[in-house]
Amino acid sequence: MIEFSNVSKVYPNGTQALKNVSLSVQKGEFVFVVGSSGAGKSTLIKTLLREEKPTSGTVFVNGYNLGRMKRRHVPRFRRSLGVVFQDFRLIDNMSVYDNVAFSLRVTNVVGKEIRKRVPYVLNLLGLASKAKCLPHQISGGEQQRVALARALVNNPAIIIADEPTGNIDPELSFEIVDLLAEINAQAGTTIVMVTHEHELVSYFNKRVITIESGVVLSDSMSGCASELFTGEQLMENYSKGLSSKQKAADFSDRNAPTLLSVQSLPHQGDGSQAFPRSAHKNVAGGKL
Amino acid sequence: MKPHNFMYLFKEGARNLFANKLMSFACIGVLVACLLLIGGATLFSLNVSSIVQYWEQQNVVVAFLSEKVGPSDVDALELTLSNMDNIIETQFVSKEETLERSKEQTYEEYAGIFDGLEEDNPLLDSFVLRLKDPSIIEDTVAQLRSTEGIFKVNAVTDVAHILSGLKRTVSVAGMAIVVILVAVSVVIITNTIKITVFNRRKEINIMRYVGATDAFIRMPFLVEGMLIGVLSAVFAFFLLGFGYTYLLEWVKTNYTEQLPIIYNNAISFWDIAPKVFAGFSGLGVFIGVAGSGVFVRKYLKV
Repeated sequence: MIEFSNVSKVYPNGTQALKNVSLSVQKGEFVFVVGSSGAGKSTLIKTLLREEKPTSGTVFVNGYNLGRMKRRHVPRFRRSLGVVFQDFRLIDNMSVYDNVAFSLRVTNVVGKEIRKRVPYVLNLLGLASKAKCLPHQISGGEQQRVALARALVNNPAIIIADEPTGNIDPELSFEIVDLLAEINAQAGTTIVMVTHEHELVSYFNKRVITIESGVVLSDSMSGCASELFTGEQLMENYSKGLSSKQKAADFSDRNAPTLLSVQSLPHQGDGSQAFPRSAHKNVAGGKL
Repeated sequence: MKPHNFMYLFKEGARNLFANKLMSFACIGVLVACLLLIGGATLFSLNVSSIVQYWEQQNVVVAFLSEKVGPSDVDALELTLSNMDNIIETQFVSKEETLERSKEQTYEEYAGIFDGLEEDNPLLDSFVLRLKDPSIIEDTVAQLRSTEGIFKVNAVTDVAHILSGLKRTVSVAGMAIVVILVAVSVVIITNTIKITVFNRRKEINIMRYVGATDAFIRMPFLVEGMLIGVLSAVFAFFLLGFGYTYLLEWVKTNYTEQLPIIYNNAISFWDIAPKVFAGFSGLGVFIGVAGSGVFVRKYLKV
């Protein structure tokens, strides 16, 4: 489904964002991609979306060779994907319904089919009552669900989610990832989700690919990120990024409770009490 | 592109025009202002040309007939003259009329010097000729001189040349002003369009991500550009038409005595209206469509 072989990416300014990355994702997998900022996650996603071409190596997604693809074939390729972004990227002056319908109009779907599929997907994600609202009239979590509905309505083989929970409340974050997991389980849609929320990663216990400085540091099926991302390391990395004015001690005092709670996060199983699961159980019932 | 898609994209373009009311209003406002300036400059230069041309035609050539030409030959000669390329009007003035006019134009106390000339008039019959193109007055004069039956030709060549020069200067300067205004307008309008497109770069970006083709993205912008162009042309056309007509009317009522030459020779707006409208809508649509097309391309790169 997704196949990176020896992929390197060097930007014109000399930054080497990916170094000889090889990885493959099979149909129906759910993969988290983690890594600190600047590690190359964004470049990986951009390469997946054919926003950037690899400098060397080959990328196959959905049977398309992205390195060799012509510009005019890009739209067709992107229609086989669903994309969800951190900042939702909904069109502000279109209603929820139109935002979702939009991705069907783009693909030459006839009006009759649009009128059938859009309400279905909105219903599935519990957005039926919000269909006529504009994006700014609904909450962040709802906006992200609209974005997810838009990604889903084309019935894509792969959904790529670039930090989909970055802009929403932790509780709602779980709801969103839960939805993705249900889509993955019910429809067999391959899901690649970039995140740096470690609670989510450890909670959902899926395959985790860790990227650091442009190389794949670890690729584990256990739901654990690389050693680098245990609580202690995380705090260390975090302090490194602080401005020199602020004393590290001062910082760790203030942030200790938060980081401790990261460390003491319940793993799967007992997590269901700690984090309420999605209220939208109807996802399980619907066929995608 | 399928028909249902085309309709959708057209509607989308029209919808965007209303959805982005403020920017559309700004675009139309700027475009109307530019078209008015261009139209105003064009009308001004056309009118100046028309007035100068009128003056030019007041500059007449007088051809005196030799005494050998009898009354019977006058008609034949007149026909010869009026067949000349550069002569648009001929008027025969007999020597009796010339004498009458001379008397009238002379101070009363000296009128007596013409007494007794009626019986043996020493003056000559003449033709007063108007020229089509006074800039080649010398050629015409030469041609007249070589014509049989013409004794002498009087022509003020200097005035003719000054007026021709003036007319040429006015039309060249007018043209230059119009060209400069068009260039300035294009810069202002493309900037305005650039802002509208920039405001919607996010939208364009999203369209690219959900797999919209370039043509699909560009189409509503082109429709929008076209609508802005047409609307601006219509507004500018009527504003210019009524404004100009009103101005002429005002000059006519307030300055009848002083400036008859202006409104007598002013161009009527409605005579050139089809040309003005074609020019306006052509320019408006071209700028709207080209501007949108160029700037949308910039955001199609993702």
